[in-house]
Amino acid sequence: MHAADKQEGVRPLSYSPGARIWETFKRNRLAYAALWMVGVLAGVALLADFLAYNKPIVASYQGQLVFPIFRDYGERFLGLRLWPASWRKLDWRTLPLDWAIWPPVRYAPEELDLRNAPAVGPTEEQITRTPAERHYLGTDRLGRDVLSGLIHGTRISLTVGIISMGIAALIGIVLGALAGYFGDDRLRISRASLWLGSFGLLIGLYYGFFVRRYALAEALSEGFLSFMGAFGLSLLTVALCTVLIWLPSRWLKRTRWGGKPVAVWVDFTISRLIEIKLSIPIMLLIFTVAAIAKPSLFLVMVIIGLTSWTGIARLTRGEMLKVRSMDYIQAARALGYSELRVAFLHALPNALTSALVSIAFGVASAILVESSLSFLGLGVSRTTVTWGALVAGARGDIHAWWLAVFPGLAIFLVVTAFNLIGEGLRDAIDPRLQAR
Amino acid sequence: MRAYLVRRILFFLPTLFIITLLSFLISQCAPGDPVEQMLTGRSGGGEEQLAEKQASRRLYLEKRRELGLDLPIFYFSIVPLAEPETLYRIPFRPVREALERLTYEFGNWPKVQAYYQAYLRLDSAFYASLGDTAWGERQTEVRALLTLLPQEKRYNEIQYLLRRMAPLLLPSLRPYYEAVREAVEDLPRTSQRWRLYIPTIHWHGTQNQYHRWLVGLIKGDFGISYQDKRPISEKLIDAVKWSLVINFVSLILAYVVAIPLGVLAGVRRGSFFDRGIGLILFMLESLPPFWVGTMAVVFLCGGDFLALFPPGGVQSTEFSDEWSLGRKLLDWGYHLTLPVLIATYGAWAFLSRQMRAAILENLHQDYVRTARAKGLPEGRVIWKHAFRNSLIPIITLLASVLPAMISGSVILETIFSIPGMGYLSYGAMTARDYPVIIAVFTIGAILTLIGLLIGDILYAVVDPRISYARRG
Repeated sequence: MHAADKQEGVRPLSYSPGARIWETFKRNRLAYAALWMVGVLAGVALLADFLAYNKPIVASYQGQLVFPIFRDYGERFLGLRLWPASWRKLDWRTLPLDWAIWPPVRYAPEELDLRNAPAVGPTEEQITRTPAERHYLGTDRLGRDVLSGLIHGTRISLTVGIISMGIAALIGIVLGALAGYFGDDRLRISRASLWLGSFGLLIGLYYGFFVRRYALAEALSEGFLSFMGAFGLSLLTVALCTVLIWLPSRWLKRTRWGGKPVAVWVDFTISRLIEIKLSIPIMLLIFTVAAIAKPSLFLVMVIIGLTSWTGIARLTRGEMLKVRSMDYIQAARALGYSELRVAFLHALPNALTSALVSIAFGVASAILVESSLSFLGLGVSRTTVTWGALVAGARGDIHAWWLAVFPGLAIFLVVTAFNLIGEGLRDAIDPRLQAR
Repeated sequence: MRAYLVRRILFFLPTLFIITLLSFLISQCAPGDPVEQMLTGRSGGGEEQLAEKQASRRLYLEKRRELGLDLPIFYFSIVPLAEPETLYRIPFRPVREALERLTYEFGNWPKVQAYYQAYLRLDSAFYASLGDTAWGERQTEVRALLTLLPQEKRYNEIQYLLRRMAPLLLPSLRPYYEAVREAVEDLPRTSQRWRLYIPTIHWHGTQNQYHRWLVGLIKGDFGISYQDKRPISEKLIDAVKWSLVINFVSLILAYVVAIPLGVLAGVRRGSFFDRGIGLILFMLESLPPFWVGTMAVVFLCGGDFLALFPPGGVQSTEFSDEWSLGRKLLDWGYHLTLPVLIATYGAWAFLSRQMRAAILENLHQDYVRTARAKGLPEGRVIWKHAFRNSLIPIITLLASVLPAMISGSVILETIFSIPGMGYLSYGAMTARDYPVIIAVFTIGAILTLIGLLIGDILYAVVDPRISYARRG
């Protein structure tokens, strides 16, 4: 980056590295277009119900102005009861509405259209009341609308990609930063702290996870929120136990035995952990776990997240190794800030950009893994429509080419988009390429 | 370097240990009682009489001992003081789990045990009284309640089951019933939750399930499949040859195509060819194999479009052993072309990109400049000098391509119905045949590990420039 500074002397000094990366990234037209595409897809995911649903957005029915989708939202998210009982089972497409504004696709993703049931193609004859109710991309074996499934499947794909990479990024960045910043020599603590701390951690793990394993398993089957609650409580227990047992080290430190400083092999330990993780065939592990556990979206995200942090950790570690010997870090340490504060508040922000590259590629591969799992019928529950599950429909009926083409194209586009973003970011961040 | 190799191999062992631990742990999490899975179709079920009940129980216990499931799970166990170290001896997994849960709720094993023993007495008294005509219609309901009771984990539900049972029982069973009820009521009164918070360690020695499983693994014994009761190792040997053929051919194809592409792209860096190949391979890498496979089946294998290839299988239906070798090979080739191509294209992008980077790095080296300076033709400089040196890292990449091929075959073999390892494990996944799933995972993991080890050793042997003094 220094070389680039000298070359582009015209630019103002306040030009930050982040802004420079962004400028370079924007010049890569393919990557920039891919970023826009991801933005559009995120919009589709957010507004999926307004693009494909079996109720109108606004309608006038029996002289009354109704907003059916918003009413459904109120019932689903706020727990209100907004529909009169007699209206609940209505098929809005058959109602004599005065006027209505419909979503472009008039089918919900999981809705069965039995008249067009065993897989009707987009070019074939369909039995519909009005041309607007056509299945633009055909139906699957059960008569579910493919386009509606595609639109709503965007949600699942993007959620899996983003949340699983969020988990992976959290683990990878923290471990990578610790390994890179502390190395094998910089974390020197007293012997008393080391022993009591490790002992406390073990005890904490026992009380936090072993004793509570039934509570955790129950919470997991109840759903995401209660699991997060139970998991948080476990973590709290671990932290409390560790701190409580570690506390006496403040006095033990003054003894001859306890006071001796020892270097903690942070880098060694974490590097070995990464190596072990790398020698496990991840796809096979994911298939195995998914086959044994009860399938759910949450589980799929957690497994992918827990198994794909190594790339991020390695990149962050590499960057931190460079950053840790820079002058401003020495300055911060000389000022007497605690090592953890220097590591995470001063050094890490400058090492994060390279992790972004790995995260972008990771989102692509997470989406690929989820769709492979759904394709095999091991991912999200069978009633949920996902892109991978739609492609699987073409396996059962090889005449239904539309089931293979369109969902597969969607997967391909998303995966390519995230790969292009990753590629673009890498080119923008790599200073060797900038100097070219 | 020898020190590095020794250290590398030493590191291999603990990793192998961790992987076997991981697969064993996953196998422990598989739902259901393995013994019952093995006995399906044999136990009478339904309206058992006393003799049948005793017979099926004996059969169960025998099978359990045969499978070694009456042993402790690991070399040692860390359990709360409240939990007895002998809990693993209780047969019937749902019952064992229910009793464990009760112990975790009240922290008082002796009382839980007293409840279980009272239950057993009631149960056998019930079976002894089956001939009594006074039962009438009530017998079926009591039988169902008695089956449910020991499997119930929640205290409230246990009390509810007992209350439902009370009016149905014969007077002769009353005292047994009262004993159970009292034992249940005792539980919350004598709760000793503090005993849950004191960890204890028990040492079991080598007589444990993990040890047994590991020894079996080393001998090549993976247990018995739930589906057809055949030894898993037999099934694996049948399956593995197809996976090997596909992976071997596609590995060769991957290198044969990717290496020239990478060299040419590197030599003509920045040219139209370089960028074009780069883009095409990049797109190929983003193509999900399961999609390409499905598209190939739909469009090339006799749907509404072309019928160039067969939709699946490895050989024609009229295939016979009397065919000449050439005809056999042709038939296999006809069936395996698509799967092999699809297994390969993903590796092209990766390998040729590495090849391009390696040749670029070598082209900037001094020795290449020397070769050019002494007037060698460009082709000779590239192929005789730079290319040879840049091959080293590519060959060792074999190790990292291998695992992806092993796991990728699950999808491919499923799409094209090739009876290999992947298809076997997919079949096991849909049939919930856990021992097979675990066996495939374990073998895949060990193969990956060995691949990585060989790759690292090769790298160290062929490239003496790299110093391993600080690594390892």
